[in-house]
Amino acid sequence: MSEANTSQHDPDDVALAWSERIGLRGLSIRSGRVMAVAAAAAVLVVSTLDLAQGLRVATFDLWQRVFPRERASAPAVIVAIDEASLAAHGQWPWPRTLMAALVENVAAARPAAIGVDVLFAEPDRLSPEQLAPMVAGGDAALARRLASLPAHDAQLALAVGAAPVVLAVAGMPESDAAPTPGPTTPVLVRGPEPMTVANHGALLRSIAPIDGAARGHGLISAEPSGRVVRRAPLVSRVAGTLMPAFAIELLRVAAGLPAIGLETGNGGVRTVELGDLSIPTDRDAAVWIHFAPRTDQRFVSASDVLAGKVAADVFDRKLVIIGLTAIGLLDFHVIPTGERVPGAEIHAQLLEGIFDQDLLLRPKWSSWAEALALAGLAALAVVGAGRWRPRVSVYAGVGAGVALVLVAAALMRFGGVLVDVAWPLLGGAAAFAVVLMATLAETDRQRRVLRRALNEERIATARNAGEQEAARRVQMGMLPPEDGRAVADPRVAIAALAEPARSVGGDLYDYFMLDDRRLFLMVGDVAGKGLPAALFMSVAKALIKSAALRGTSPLDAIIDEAHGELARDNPGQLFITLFVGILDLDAGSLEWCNAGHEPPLVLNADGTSARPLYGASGPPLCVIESYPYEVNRDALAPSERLCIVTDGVTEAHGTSDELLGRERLARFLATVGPGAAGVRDAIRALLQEHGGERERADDATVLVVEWRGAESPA
Amino acid sequence: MPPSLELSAAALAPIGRMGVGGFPAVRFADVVVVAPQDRLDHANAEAFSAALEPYLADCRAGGVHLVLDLSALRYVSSAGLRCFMLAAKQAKAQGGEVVIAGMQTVVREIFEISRFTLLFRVFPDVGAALDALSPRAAQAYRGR
Repeated sequence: MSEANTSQHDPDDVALAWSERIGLRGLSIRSGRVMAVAAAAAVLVVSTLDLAQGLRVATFDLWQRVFPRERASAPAVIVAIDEASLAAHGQWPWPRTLMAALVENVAAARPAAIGVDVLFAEPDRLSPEQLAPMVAGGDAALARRLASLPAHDAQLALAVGAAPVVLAVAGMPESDAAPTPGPTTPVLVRGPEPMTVANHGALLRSIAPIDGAARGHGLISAEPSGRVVRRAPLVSRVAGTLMPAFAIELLRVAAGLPAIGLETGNGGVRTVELGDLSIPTDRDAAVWIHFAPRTDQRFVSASDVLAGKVAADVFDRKLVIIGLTAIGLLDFHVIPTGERVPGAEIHAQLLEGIFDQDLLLRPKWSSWAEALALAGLAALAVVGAGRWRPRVSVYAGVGAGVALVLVAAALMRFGGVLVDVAWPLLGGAAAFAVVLMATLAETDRQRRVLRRALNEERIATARNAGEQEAARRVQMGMLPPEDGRAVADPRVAIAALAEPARSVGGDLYDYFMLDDRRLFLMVGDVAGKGLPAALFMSVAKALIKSAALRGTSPLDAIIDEAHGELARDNPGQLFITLFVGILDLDAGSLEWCNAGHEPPLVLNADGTSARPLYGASGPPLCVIESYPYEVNRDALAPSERLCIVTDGVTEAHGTSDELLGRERLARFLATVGPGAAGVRDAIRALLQEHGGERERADDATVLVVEWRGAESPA
Repeated sequence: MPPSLELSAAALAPIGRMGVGGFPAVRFADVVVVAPQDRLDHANAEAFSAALEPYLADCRAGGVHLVLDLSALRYVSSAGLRCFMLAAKQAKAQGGEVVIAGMQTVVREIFEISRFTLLFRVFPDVGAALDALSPRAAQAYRGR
C-alpha cells in the first residue's frame, strides 16, 4: 500500500476504530493473554499483603450477616452491671462489699463457674481503713473503730475464694513496670513451641489478696473499645508465659481441670484442649467467633441478683459472667454484624460457639485454595480469550465467579471454614477485563478489515456486472436475428436461439448468403467467460465472415485464414470450437468443417430420425497452430433440418446435476415435427424442463436450418 | 511457497504426498500425478491452474513428467479444457510432457469431440501411464 493510501481514512474507519483511540489497537489476543496473566499475578501478590486483609475480612463480615449462628445451647449467663444497677446502688466503682454480695448471691445459685470481667487493680478507697484518715479527723475513737472493721477487699477475697471464680487479667502492651507476680494457670504444650501465638508485653492483675483467692485467671483483651471484634485468641503469651483466655479459663474451672492443653504442629497451634474437649484453632490459637444475633436472654441485671429477685435455676450449672454493660462504662465492642455489644457478651458468644461447636476457622489450606481459585479464574480468562465470543467469555467468567462465591458460602455455612472470595474475584476480574479488552480490540480490528473487504468486493462486483453487461451487449449485438429474417429466401427456413448464461460466455452463431445460392452457416463457442471471451468471439466471427465474403474458397481455406489471424494475436490463450457449413440452396449439398465442435444433427422431414454429422474434425481453433482442417461433404433432402448446438445445450445441467447428454438430445429431436422454428422452440422447452429453476452455467446456442428444396412449395 | 520438486535422493525414496487447493497430487519418483475431482469448470479452473503451476514448472526436459489422473473427474467444461491445453503447451515448450490417464465416459466424449486427444497421450489408467513414462515411477507406484 502506498504512503498516500495509508494516510487516507474513510469515515467508517474512523468511527469504528475506538480501540485505536484508546490506544488498544496494537493489543492482540496474544499480548492480551500475557497481560491478563500479569494482572492476575499482581493481584495475587497484593492479596498476600497486610493491607489486603481489610477487603478479605469485609467478605467474612458479610457471611456473618448472611449466615448468623443459631443459638442452640445457652451455657453462659451475663450478670449485667447495667444502668438499672447503677441507679439502685450508686456510681461505679461499687464498694467491694457490694461486689462480694453479688458474687455470693450468684454462688448460692450453684453455677458451674463465675467469671468476673472486672479488674480490681487498686485497693477499694471506700474500705473503712481507707476512709479513716479522710473522715475521722481528730476523733481517735472513730479512727480505731473504722480500722477494726473488716476491710472491703478482704471481704471480696473471701467471697471469691468461696466459689469457683475466674478473675480477669488484662494483657497490656510492653511496659517498663516489673511484672506483677501472681498465680498462672499451666498451659501444657504438646508439640513444638508455638511461635505463632500473640504476645503481650505485660499483665495487669487485681490486687494480690483478691487475685490470689481466685481459682482461675483468664486473659481479657486490653484492646481499645470500638474496634470490630472478629477473632478471639484462646491462648496468648504474656511476657513469654502462655495463659488461657477468660472464656477458656472459665471452662477449665467449671470442669475442674488442673491445666489447659495446647496441641501444636510445624505450622503452629492446631487445637486447644480442655480434658476431652478439643477446640480446633487457627495457627495462632485464635478462633473466628461465629456471632449469633444479640438477645436479652443472655442478660440478668445485677440489681435483680442483689435483690434476690432471680429465679433459683437461672444460674444452675451455668457459666456466669459478671460484667459491665452500662453505656457510660465504655466496655463496648463492635461485632461483624455491625452491632455494639459489651465485652461480656463477646465472652458469652465465644462460650456458646465452643459448646455448640460452631466456631469459624481459617485453615492453613485456605490461602492456597484462594490462590488456586484466583489462578483458575485467570486461566479461564486466558484460555477463553479469542476462542470464545466476548459474550460467552463474560458468561463463563460470571458463572465461574458465582460458582466460587457459592462454594465459599457453602464452606462457611456447612463447614465453618472462612475462605476469601474477594481477592480471587478481583484477580479473575482483572484477567477477564484485560482479555476482554484484547478480544474486543481484535473484534473491532476484524470488523474493520471485513468492512473494507466487503467494500472492495462490492466495487469488484459492480465492475464485474458492468463488464458482463458490456460483454452481453457486444455478443448479442453481433448476432443476426433469431427468426432468420436476415436471409429471406423461400428455399430455406432458419431459426436460432441464443440463451446466454449469467456469466456471459462466448457463443456465437451467424448465417448469411455468400451469393444467391450459397448459405454460409456458423456456430462457435469460445472457452472462457466475460468480456475477453466476448471480444474474442466477435473477432473470430468477423474474421471468418470477412474471409468468407472476400470469396476465399474452399471452406478449409476460409478456416485456415481466420485461424492464422486469430492465433497470431491471442494474448489470453483462448480457443474457439467452430462448426461452419455452406449449404447450396439449389442442390441441398452441404460442405462443412468442424473444429472441436459438437457434431450437428440432421433431422429428417417427418421428424422420425436424427442423424449426427460425423466426419473429419480437428481441435478448436487456436489449440494446435496450423492444424489442417478437412472439408466434409453431405447433402440434405428437402425439408430436412440441420440442427447445430453448442455444449451449453448438450451439457446443460439438470436439477439433480445430471447432464442433458447428446444421446438424449438426439432421441428427443428425432420426435419433433416439421419446420425449423419448431425444433428451436422444442429445444428451448427441453432446456427449461431439464434445468428447472437452476441457473444456466453456460451459454446455450442453437441454429436450425431447414432446406425446403430448390423450388419452394409456396 | 510452492513445494520444490527438485530431484533428490529423498524424492527417489518412496512417495511424497502433495496437493494444493483440493487437487490431490502424488509423486512417484520422477512423475507427479495430479487428480482433479468431480468437476472442472469456470468455477475452479483458475484454482486448478494455480495448483498445477508448481508441478508444471518442473515439467521439462530432465525434470518430472506430469500425469493428469482424470478417473475421479465427472465433467470438464471448455474452461477446464483450456487449463489442459495451457498445461500441454507449457510442458511442450519446456521439453516436458503431460499425459492423461483414466478418463470417464463423459470426459472421454468431450475429449474426442474437441479432439483434445491430439494434444495428449492418453492412457487407460495411471499404471499404464507410468509404465510408459518411467519404469522407476511405475516401480514406486506398484510398491505402494
